[in-house]
Amino acid sequence: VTRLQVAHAVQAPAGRYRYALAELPLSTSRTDDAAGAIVIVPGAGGWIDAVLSAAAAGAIAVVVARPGFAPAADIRRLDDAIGLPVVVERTLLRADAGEDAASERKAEGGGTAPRAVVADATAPRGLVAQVARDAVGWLRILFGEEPVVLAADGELSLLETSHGIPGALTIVATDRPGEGAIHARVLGEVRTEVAVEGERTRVITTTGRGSLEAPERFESSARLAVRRALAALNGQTPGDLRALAADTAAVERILASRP
Amino acid sequence: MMPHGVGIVGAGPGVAALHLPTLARVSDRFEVVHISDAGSGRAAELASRVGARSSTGIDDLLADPRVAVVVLASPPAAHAAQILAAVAAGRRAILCEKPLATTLEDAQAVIDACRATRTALLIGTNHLYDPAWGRAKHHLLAEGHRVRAISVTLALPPNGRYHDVVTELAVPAAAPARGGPPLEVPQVAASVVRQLITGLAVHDLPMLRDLAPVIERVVFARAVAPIGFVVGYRASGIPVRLATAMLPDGADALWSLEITTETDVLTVSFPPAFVHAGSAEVRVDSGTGRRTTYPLNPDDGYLAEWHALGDVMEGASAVEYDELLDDARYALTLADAASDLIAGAR
Repeated sequence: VTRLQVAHAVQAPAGRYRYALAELPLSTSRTDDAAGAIVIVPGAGGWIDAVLSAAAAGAIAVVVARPGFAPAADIRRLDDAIGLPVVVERTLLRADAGEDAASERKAEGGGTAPRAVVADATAPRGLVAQVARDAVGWLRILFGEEPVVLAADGELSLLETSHGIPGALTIVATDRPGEGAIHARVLGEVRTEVAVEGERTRVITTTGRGSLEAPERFESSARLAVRRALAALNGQTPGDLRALAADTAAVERILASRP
Repeated sequence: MMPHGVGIVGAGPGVAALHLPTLARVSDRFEVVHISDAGSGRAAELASRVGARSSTGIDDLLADPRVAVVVLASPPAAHAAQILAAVAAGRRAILCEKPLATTLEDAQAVIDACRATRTALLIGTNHLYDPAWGRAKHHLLAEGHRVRAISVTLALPPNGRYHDVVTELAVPAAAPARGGPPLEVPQVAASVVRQLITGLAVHDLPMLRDLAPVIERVVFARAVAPIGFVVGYRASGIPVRLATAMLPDGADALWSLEITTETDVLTVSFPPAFVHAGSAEVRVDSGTGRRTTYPLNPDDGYLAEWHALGDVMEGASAVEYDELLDDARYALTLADAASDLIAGAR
């Protein structure tokens, strides 16, 4: 049998990422040694140190799986220091769904700019900062740039692009089961609606001609993250840490405004 | 019972596209007998369609003995004085397009006058009368969940798109201006946002007041180009976000009210203005993945508000004057706070 590609070694903890490796049998192989491998770092507390440890152990790329909330300054320092590709898996902000939203706005509406963007999010009580961070990420993607926070009170916030386009975010803690939900919409001649709950993300683009829903992404979020790490080894810089730091910084500002 | 005679003050596209087609659907209870304009001459053409009289100004209409119900489809700044004139003329009922008044003092004066004379008064906030809202409220009450957040989101193409499916205008409505007003001027932005809150958001504010009655503070307010706004405010401990964009083109109307409770997200999706496509849709997404969509009611909010007025005139229900005044107070308080924030922000 001729192997069509070189399998990259991946060090992954038991669970979702092992399943992802089973779904990437040609391009990956499992290893227990970080040296020369793509290392999956669980996103629980202390993940920044874990990424640095993986790099010190010789990892060639790192995937941070569902990172918990960490200070923006620490993420920036990591980004500056790390020197190898880092992919961040954010299940409420899948990279492929973000690309769907952006590309369909371009295809269906010729890149028509938003008039305003709104995002409404709910989070379990312990995950408010994390869900807010991903909701800000959706604003960033739908704007096409990093917005700045103009006003906030912890649950309500107003953000704005460099072109003065406003974005409004509501984030509340509820008893709703799951790990949070985000409903983001672009208001404009071309409307985009993004609904994220659990593993599922729906992206709908609406123009005067009607609505188009992007095909459902059945690939697991973990498999997508590993594939993006593989692509990063081929030169596609993910930029995930920079985006995570920007979204985190906005949330720090929002949460600091709580009365 | 003979239908109640209706006199309509105003003869613009809204009357042609909304009031006349709506009243045709409730002709067993109401009959248009008189239409007046402010000098445009359009009343005569509209009146001829329905066999009604026409006049210019408000005096002849108020003196017409066949007019039992006065519809005020005139500019908002004229509403309060015209209500007082209708009350003074002894008309039994008034359907006033929103807003009731543009100042708190005027709102108080017209409510006092209507209450003193037992004049039936209804404000044309049709979403409040939409059967879907009753269903949504029932769901919220039955489940007993605490409301955690409210959002209202509008993205509206020009009205002409919907005028075209409910009427034929003798004179085409003016095309919406491209570019919109100069929102970079704070006073202009503040004025636009105030008008949009009292004239458009006001459709939903009585519902929001039901859920979050005490406005604590406006967290942010911004105008949106070409005409629109985003406002975030806190009321009764709940974050409330309003966003509106009136667009020159593009997707069909989005008009959505979302209520987040501890476990559910309840969405009321209203049909576009002017059309008669049944009630709004009420959908409940529970945290367990269950989605419930209630069946549509064939009656929309426009029809329901006329039936509500008929019920009052026929003694089957009563006007809640204090509620009308509190609704007006809520809208004006929010509009003033938002416009003050914008005017003072730059």
